[in-house]
Amino acid sequence: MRPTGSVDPSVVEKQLLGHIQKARIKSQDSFADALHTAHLRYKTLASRETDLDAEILLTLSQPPDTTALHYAEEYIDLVRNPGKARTGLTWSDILSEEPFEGQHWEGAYGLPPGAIRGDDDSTSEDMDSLPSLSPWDDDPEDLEERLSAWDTSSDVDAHPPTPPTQDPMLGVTTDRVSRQIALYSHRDEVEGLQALHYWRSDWRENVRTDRAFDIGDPSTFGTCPWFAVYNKHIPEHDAVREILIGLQGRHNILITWLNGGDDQWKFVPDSQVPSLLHLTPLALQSMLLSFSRTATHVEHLRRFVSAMFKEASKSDNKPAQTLSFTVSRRNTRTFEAFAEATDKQIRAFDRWCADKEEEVCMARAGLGPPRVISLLDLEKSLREAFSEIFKVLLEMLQNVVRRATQSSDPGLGVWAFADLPKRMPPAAITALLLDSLLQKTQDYSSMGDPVTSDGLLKIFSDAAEPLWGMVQRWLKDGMPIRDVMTVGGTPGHAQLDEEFFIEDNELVLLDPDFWSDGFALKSSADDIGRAPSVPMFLQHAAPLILAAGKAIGLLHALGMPLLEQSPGAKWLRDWKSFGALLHSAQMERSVNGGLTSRMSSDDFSRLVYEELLGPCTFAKQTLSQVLVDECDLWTHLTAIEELYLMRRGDVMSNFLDVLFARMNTSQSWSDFHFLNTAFGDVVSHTTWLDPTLVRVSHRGSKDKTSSRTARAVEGLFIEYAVPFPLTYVWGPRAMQVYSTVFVFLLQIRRAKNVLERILMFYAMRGKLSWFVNVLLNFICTNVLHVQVLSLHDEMRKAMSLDDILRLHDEHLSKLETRCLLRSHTTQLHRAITSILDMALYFSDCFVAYAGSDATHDVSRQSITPPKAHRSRRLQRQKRNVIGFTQDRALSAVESSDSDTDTDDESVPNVFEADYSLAEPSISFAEENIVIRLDKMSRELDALVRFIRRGVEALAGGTRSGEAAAAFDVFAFALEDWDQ
Amino acid sequence: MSSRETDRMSSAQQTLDILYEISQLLHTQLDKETLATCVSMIENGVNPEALAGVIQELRRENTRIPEQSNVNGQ
Repeated sequence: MRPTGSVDPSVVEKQLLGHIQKARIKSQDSFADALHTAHLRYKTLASRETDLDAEILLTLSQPPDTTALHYAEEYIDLVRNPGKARTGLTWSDILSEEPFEGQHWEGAYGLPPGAIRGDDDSTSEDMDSLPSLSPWDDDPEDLEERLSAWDTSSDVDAHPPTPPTQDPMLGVTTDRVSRQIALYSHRDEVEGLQALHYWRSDWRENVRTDRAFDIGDPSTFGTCPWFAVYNKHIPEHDAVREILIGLQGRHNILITWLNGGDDQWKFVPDSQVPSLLHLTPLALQSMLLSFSRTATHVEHLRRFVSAMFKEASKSDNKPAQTLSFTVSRRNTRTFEAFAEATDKQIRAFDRWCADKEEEVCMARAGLGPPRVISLLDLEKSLREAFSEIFKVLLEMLQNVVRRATQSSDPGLGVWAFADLPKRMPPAAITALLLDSLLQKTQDYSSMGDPVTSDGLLKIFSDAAEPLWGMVQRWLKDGMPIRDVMTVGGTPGHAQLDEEFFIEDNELVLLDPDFWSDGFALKSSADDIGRAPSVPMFLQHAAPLILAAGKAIGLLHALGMPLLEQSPGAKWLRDWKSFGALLHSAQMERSVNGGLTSRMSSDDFSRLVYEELLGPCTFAKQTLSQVLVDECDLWTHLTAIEELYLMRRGDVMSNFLDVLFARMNTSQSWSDFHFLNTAFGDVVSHTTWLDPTLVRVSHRGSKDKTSSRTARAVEGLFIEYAVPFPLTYVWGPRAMQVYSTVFVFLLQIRRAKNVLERILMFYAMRGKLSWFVNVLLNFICTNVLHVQVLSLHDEMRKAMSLDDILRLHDEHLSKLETRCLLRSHTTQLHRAITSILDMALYFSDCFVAYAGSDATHDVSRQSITPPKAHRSRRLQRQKRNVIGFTQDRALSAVESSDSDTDTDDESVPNVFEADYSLAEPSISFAEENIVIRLDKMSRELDALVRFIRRGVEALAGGTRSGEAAAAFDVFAFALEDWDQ
Repeated sequence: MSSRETDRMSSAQQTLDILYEISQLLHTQLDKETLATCVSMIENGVNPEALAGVIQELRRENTRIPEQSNVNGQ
């Protein structure tokens, strides 16, 4: 009994038998035999001893190597011929061996079952047939018997090896005859099949050469010397099949693909091309060349498609962060869609080829209607079915690839594009591809090649689909809003595809420039050398799409999604795919029920524009509606106008009175606290506006504010805090312009204010007052009022935030022009400032002459009277005289005065010694005041005349444009100066 | 020594011989002495599979030692 008990003797035996069988399968017959013999011997022993130690051997066994096999041979030899020298294989042994012996010959060469000599009775598991020279039979029992005899007794020599006993002569003859018959019948079949193998190099067509050449009998063509260049002919229908196989990019005998040499990556006619009987070699060659070209085009595209697909499936695994921004290796989606569409086309082509081939086979088998199959017919039907689509596609693709990769290699395969780094931004590549496709479509449609243009149009429509989808997403979700809190880039927020023609400038929502600059069309880049990023067919619609997307995004940001405002209809619910859109357009244009592809790029553009116009306009209108209804656009607009343009006369006058009173004292008026308190006090008595929204500040230096010139107020800046979405309208720049206008108005009113206080020197005062009043009147009535009214009119018609912005910007620029605040009217503005300064200076003179008590101040209410004029400050200012400045200015004025009508050039010299630049320096000698007034009067005259000429020039000139009419009025008013 | 004992001995010797032949055929790389040891161990109740496992493991160790010495030498 086995202590382990886990090993069953039968398992061991089975494993051993398995080893034997394995050896037989591996044709290691001697090894198998040896193993078998050893096993049997072991079994006989084991039957006595019940030993199962073979288990360990089996477990440790390794595949037999050569030494083991040698050992096996020796072993079996030893077992069979113990004590006898091993005999080698001799020729006589080999020659006497039966050639067809063994099971594997059964059935081969058509041999009858009886022809094989051997172990018919042996079973499959008992494969241990011994070699033919073996003296022993295969019977296991027999073997066992012998083995036991060998085991127990030593007289093995009693069983010498005996040759097989058979009748030698008779068997050999019958075998040979039957074998020959079997051989021939088999050969016949093989020959019959080989006769059909026209592709074999040793194949010969049954060409008659025994008859004379006859043009009416193709079978005699072989005798003609022209045709007999090649010694091999194949039938034409086979040639057609070969061509069809070749067109599908597979191996064939007529055209071959070259991977190197001069004709790299081309199909060329094979060098050993068989000829056709009825075609001259040249004719055949030219036909093959034509097919080779088509096959080459298709093959190139096929390789491109597979390269794109490979790359696309690869890049799916890549996380988006690893993509580089500068040189993108990833292929654009449009390109992938294009590859897919091309693949579709190629598949259609393959299918067509397969159908043709099927036709040929069917016709040959006698099925279906009779057909004429020829190479020319194939070429014609190929052209009818596909025209030049593959050629055009390939040429276009090569062009695009060359431009996108900026490669100068003319032999560059298009399939390399997938791996090459792109030297153009993705959006530009997309635009380039789509434009090229559309261009080619139109070219071929105008050439009257509907097959090509239809095919290209299909590809175009498929390729445009991703971009169209991006447009839809953009319109559906609006612009991605970058919140202030998450600035710094959370990776989760929605990002625009690089391929999209709208770019994100990564501004935050609250940035005043967000609306105008946050998102922009990529093609708006100023450098001309760059390729456009907006495809042609979207060119017209692109600004519309941009504006609508921004509007929708802003609505989302305001918490008012569009769908809530259009009950029943979900936003963009019935969005059509680009293909469907094209189809519907084609249906509209169809003539007699047939679709047409005759559409120009303008047609496409218009088609897209019309499709998008409705929803986009709706989105924009909704936004402007929201701005008016929810954001109080009009309230703020009116408030701003009333504040900055001083259209709220009463309140602003009160504020200005306080301000001027402060200025008249020697106290600092530019103090932030004072300005805001004063404004707040004035406004709090009214229900006008919320004073907390307004902040008045002075940005000039302290020295400047204390000087008594009109420029002192230039640093004044008023901020009006408009609520969030309206900051896009009233941004910092708009506020700056408003402030400038406000300052200008303030300067005029300041001059008017000081002049009103003077009760002496009526002549001079009258002159100054006249000018100041005319100016104020012009600004208030002809500029501000007119412009504000027209702005309101237009604003009411505005359909979108962009319209509002545009109108407002125009309004501001008109205001600037009319108030002479533009750069080209600087000199006029400085002249006006000089006159205003003169008014202040005049006032100072008067105060110096008559004392401050003599002034008449109607608006002085609770302000302490100014101190005595001989203050320390004034004395200090008196000492601070730069004498020649004034002298030179006066002399300049005199010289200009003398020849005002002739010499315009001299006038600007006046302003170099501007009054506003000079510190007021007044000497208070009484005898001088008259002379001084006289001088001032002359200067005033010169300045007013200069301004008049300038304004007249503006009114008549073209530079001021539409503002000419307004200046005309001013010029007309100034004409009264002479009277 | 009885004849029965002698019979048993020779039979054992024969068995061992055949086992050795099979062992050679199966390319187990066991010499006769090792084989005899293995057989006696199995006779005494060692699980043959386990024993085979041990032998294989020992061989693996054996091949690893020169490799390690090479590595250490470097």
